[in-house]
Amino acid sequence: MTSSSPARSRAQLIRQLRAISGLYLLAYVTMHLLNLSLGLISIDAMDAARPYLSGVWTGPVTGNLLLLMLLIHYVLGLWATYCRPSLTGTSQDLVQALSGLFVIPLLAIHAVGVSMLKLSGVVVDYETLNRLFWLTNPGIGLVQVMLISVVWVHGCAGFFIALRARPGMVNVLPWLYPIAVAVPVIALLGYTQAGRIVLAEGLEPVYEQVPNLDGTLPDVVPYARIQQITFGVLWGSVALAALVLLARALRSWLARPGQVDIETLGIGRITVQTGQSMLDAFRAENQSHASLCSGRGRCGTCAVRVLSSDVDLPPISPLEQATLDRTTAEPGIRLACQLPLHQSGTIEVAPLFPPDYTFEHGTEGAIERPIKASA
Amino acid sequence: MRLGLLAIGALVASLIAGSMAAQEAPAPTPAPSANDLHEFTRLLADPRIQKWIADQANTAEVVDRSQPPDLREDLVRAVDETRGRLVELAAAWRALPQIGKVFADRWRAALSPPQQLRGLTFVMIFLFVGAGLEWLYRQYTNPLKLRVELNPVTTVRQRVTAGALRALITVGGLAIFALGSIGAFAAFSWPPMLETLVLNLLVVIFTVRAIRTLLVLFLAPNVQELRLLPFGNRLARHLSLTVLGLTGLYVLSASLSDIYARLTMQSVHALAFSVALATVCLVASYAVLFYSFRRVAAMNGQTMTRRARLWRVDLLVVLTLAYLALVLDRPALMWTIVLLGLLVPGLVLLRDWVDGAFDRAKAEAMALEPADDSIPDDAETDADLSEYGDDLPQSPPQHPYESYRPLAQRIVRFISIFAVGIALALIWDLRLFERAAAPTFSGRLVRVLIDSAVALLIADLIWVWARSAIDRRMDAYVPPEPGTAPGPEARMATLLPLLRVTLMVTLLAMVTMSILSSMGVNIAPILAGAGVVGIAIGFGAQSLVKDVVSGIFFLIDDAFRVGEYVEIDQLRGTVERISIRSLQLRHHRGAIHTLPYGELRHLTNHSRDWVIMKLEFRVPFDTDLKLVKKLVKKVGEQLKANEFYGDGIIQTLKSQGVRRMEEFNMVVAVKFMTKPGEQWLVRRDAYMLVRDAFEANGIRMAERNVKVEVANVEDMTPEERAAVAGAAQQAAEAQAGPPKPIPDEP
Repeated sequence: MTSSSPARSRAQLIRQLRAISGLYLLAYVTMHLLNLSLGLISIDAMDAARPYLSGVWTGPVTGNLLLLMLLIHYVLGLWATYCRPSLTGTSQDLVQALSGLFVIPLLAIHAVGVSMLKLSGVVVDYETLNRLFWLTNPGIGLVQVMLISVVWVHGCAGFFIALRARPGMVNVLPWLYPIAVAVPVIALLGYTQAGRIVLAEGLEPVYEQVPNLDGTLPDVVPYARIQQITFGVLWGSVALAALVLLARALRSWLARPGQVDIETLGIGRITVQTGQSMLDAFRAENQSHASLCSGRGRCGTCAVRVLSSDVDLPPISPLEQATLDRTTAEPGIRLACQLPLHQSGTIEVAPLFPPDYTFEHGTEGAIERPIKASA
Repeated sequence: MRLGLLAIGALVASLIAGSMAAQEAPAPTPAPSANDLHEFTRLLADPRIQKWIADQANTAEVVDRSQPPDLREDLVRAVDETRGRLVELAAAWRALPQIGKVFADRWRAALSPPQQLRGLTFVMIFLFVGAGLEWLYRQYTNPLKLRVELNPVTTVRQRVTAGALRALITVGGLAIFALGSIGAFAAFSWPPMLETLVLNLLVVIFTVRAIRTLLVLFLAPNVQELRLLPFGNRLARHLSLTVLGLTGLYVLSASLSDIYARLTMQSVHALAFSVALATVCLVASYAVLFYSFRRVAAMNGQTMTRRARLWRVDLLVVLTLAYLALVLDRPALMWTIVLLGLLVPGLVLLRDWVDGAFDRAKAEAMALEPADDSIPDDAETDADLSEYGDDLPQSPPQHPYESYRPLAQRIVRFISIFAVGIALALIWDLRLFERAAAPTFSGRLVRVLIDSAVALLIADLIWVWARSAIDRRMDAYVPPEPGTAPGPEARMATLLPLLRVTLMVTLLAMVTMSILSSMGVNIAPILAGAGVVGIAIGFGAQSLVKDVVSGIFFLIDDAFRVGEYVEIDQLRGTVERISIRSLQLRHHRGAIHTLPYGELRHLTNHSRDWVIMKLEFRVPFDTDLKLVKKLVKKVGEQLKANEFYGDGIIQTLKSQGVRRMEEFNMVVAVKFMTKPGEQWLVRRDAYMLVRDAFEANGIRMAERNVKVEVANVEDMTPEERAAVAGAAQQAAEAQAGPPKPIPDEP
């Protein structure tokens, strides 16, 4: 059943790229946070572990790879944020989208500052940074805490949504949750402890430049330039985020002229606005509906059987088709999360899965037809 | 009615805020140095210091022994304090424009900008820790919560269980959040100012979330099936939003004014700031009250009722008075106003709520049971009555829940009044129980009041419960139609009124005794006197008591009912009247026997379940027994088919064959089984029909005939023959004996 049209392969490629880059970034952040958590021991321990935990990611090659992954993930994420039918379906969706948009503005100071300082030959170690963040400029320190929270929340949201959509991951998830909480909590506590040490010492940070290989001192640190680039990245990303949100608002403002009646078999009839997906319509009316991947079209649990419809349903998108092929091969089945309501009329559907369906139910929970075990 | 909830929420919030303010821990004091201690011992050894301390102690004792300040002094002091407060308020009013500036100055002095930022950083970290732990908790509890929310609930019990479980899960998350955030905070030591600030912020967040959990428990804005209160979706959402907003504002104001007061060391500016915040709260509450009442009325699609207007006025007045008391620095007075002002509407609200819960529970229980014709109008009358209260005569209750309705209302009322009383006592710092133990007049009075109130309330609870239970059974009793047998519940009509009177007298006696005893009246002589009188009366009325007691047990045994035919020793008759001491039997010939229960040793009841009657026929030896059997069977069918008593026959007439042989005939027995009371009629017809059938088939009944064999009868003269016949007649009659009395049957 896996017909590989170019459209589908492109869509899947985009999704896989986003997932891979996200995973790469998450792995980097995890290591970085582990490094931070050594602050519970001492600042020296943080610096001792730095080459192994953080340094390997920011070498000459790996640093560029990291930047590339970040760019890929950012651009694709912006595109996905624009494309998604609704951002406010669940609180989790909203948190993921907003945290994604906030990452780059929060990251700007840290990333640009540290990498530019390194480029100009300044030794940037944890001692310097902790003194800067806690003593000299606590505002930047506050931004770092926000950054950690936001990045981690964003990474975990994407990671767990992707895992929940896979039936094979059911037994792994309960073991991952504690790790997902422990890593940032310990890192933040380590950061706090490091801060308390720094505050007790009360020493200002020293930016000492390492001499070049030929013994000459490098140029003076271009602080003005660092600031300029930082502000450029910050406001540029803010503008991009605003642009995406604005484009979404415009799109949804243009497309809400009518009302659709959705009659769900055995549950009831709701009347909703056009311009949202069917899953979002269910959510807006507080009608519980299964959706493990929170409306990404991955898990196939929001599938409905369209019994009758007097509107022209849009054709099945390649991604939707891929998921349908994987889970259920019958005609007349659509994914509610990928089914935009764009015309007034009446649709009659029957859900395939009970609202509290999880993959732990195995095959017995499905109302009509069990989901095919995916490889 | 609904806005009362809102007010109660506000009350809860402010209570929490108050307790929160009280929880602030004092800054740790460093231990005295060795030098200080040496200095102190030196000072203590100084005789002048010792003399001074002794003098102070003596005068302190004198002051202690003096009378507590009387009412007039209290009043004078209160007036003075109020006057002072007004002066302070005037100063605060003048200081109002500077509060921002003063705060900024102090703020900067207490915390430098880096410190502020660091404080904020810490708050962020702790919130993240708390939130992370709660997220972890939720990952494991979410499936359960989802199942609870999605499971269909049909009965009240299920709804309460599901709602409570859901709230429990949320509270668990909240506790973990608090543990994570406040616990992580407490793990480090902080400068006092920062500690106050961070802790206040954390507590505000925690409190608002706790209020939200409570609201979700009662209002369940998103899940209609789990809602404990009978509101629609929109109303529930609106109410929970407004209550949350308002209470959040209260909590935040309390916290802010606390921070300000700590920062500026209780200055005039702090007063101005808190009064300004209180004013903001007051105005916001006014706005919410007006808006919500209008909105709720609009949601119901009608204009505001008179009741709603009264409610609004009441709440407005309470709010205003509470605000004034707060501004005048009379917190105890403020709480009293709030509590008393909310007590009456709260009681009405609770009564409506209990009524609503019972109506719903009944409707749900009825929906589960097979429907009854009488339900709809019954439900209507109940709904009408609930508007007026439980003192009106109610329609006959149809459902077991009904007997608990007044009880539930009493309990709810009892608990509310009790809680308000305790709260008031705590607020005024009355130390009720200490004061009650004091041997002063007021102490005595307090104790008497407490004792009497508790005794009365408990007696009232028991009485209401018993009365409603008894009344329900009495109402369920339908007197039997004339001519039909009464059911087993008939005896209850005799016993229950007695029980009720006994209970009432007992309760009254106990309450009176306990009140008298708490007033200091020695009740031992009364009890002893009652005991003596009781013994005397007991001896005098021994048989009366015996009658009554044994009567109760006869009734509990269900030995007889009105209308039953019973036999006691030699007396028979239909039970006509059952009183508490005796029963009256109507003999079928009209005589009435009155029998005290104490006289009854044993009693035979002829009217229970079934009666077997056996009839005998004497037939000659040459009778065809098979024919007899066939005929009896036919007669049995005829009897069974009879339109008047056919239904009363349980086993119809059947032949039992020859029972015994007698000198001159056989005895053929037949028997039948009927319901009690039908047997006489059936017997009459059975005799008649069997005789007719026998006659039609040539079977005659055996008659007593004496065959006298006389030898040489041919040789006798007619005179001799006549003499022999006469002698034989005499002999036969002598053998038969005198006629027996006719059995005594109706």
